[in-house]
Amino acid sequence: MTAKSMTTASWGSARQLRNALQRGAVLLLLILFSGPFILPLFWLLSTALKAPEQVYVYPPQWIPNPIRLENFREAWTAAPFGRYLVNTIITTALPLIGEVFVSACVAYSFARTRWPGRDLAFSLCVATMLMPWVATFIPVFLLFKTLGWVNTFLPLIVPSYFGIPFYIFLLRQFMLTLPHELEDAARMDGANTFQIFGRIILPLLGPSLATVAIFSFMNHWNSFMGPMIYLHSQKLKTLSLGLATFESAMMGTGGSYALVSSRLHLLMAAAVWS
Amino acid sequence: MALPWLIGFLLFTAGPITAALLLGFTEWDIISPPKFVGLENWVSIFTEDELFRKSAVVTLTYAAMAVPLHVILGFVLASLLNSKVPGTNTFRAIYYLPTVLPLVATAVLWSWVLNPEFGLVNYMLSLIGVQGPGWLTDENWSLPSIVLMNLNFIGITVVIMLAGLQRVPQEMYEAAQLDGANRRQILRYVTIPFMSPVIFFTIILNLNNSFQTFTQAYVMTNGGPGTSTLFYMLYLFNNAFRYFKMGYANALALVLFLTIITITITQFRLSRLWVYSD
Repeated sequence: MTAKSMTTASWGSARQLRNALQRGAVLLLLILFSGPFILPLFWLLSTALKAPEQVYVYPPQWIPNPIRLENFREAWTAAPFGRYLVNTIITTALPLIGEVFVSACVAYSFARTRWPGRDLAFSLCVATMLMPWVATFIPVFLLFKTLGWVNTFLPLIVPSYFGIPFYIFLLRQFMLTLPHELEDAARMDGANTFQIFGRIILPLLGPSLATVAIFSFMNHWNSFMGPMIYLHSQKLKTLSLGLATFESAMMGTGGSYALVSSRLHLLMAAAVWS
Repeated sequence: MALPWLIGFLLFTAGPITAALLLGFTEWDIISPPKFVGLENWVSIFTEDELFRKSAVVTLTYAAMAVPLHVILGFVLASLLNSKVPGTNTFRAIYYLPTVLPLVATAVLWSWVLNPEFGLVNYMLSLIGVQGPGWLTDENWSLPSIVLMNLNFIGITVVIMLAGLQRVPQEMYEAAQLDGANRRQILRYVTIPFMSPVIFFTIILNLNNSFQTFTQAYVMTNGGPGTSTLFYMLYLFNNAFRYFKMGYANALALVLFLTIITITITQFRLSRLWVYSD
């Protein structure tokens, strides 16, 4: 080895050492930061599996002994969570279908068809995307109340069948990247606009439609304010709403710590269900 | 094919906004027909309503704490995730996890995590010899508690920032290194200018979310103790659905709506001074 390559090598290994140290530091930080995200969830799971008398043992036991899986069953029956689950599925699936399909139709219209005022309409659509929903939710509630739809699932489902501006925007942007030739070829073969949309565009949109479907799913599954405003009777409640009611009922029953504590494990089990 | 959207726009956006404007000038308890009261709602909001003032202060204070925390910490976490360390995918999933969980479940969980006597946070603090505060039951700590709880949802900001960081051209870093720039200079003169549109977007996003915070406060504190967590949206909700003052609630909604629009437009104006675009 020549002297020159020697110095390069040792310089190189010093650099490697420094790099390794830096990586170690980054890794350590990443681990430290993940604590606040992971530990509460772990605590939730652990509490959900504890017997009532173990919940307030100090210092807390991370691994419950014995593990009580019955908590889940008990929580499930302590409030009609089965009913809540069905309701949540209804108020998630039906809006999801509407949002994905209708938004794709509207996006297609904005991306590929020509009609007077189209660009103005699209700008309006984008503008409503940025609009805070606080401005409209009371009049919309009053509208549904006049229709007699309060305490039904309709207010949570019907608006979805008019398309969601954000999804329309996303899908339009994606459609603009699709090559025109495919549609031209289909049109030459005599396909009309609806056939082109159904047979050519929709299949090509696969991944984007999946993205929109995931957004829509999370949005409706986790939604709280809508169900709270519109669903009043016990048998219509969704999981989120049911969980909140379950908690406030627990807190409200005299509020004695003993009672609350005896059911904390059930609450946590209920939270896991949601 | 755009017809559904157009009808939806008229039914659920244009119509309601017009209705809100009109209803803002009425007194309406839903049962009897709305009564036109002129400017009464507006005068009372800005001169008499003590709770309006308090809820506005709560919301602004919250935004002043939450937005910088989300943006700065989001940037830090995204930078860490962007470094070439094994396992970043796992960490990304961990940071994003609470975002996909139902907000209500997280809020319920955190109202117990923050419990002063047997909550996880005070237990952890006791391990390092610190006596934790009463969090949600202490007027001085209840709002910071909600800020803390809401950091659970930093995943959204982190993911957006990470996408931005990955789009900063590598050549720029290499060029800066060749010119002998140190870490801080690279951050200041390469990363931040390239990231400025993304940072701007996350500020707007977090500001909007802060102003419309509702569920957390409703589930965890219901505005208390006192009025220390009476978020604007909560006060608005109470007016509409608890006291059935629909006219007044509409006027309140319009105030928030105009505030958000004004702040957003101002941000866009200001952004020309610092957001880099090519």
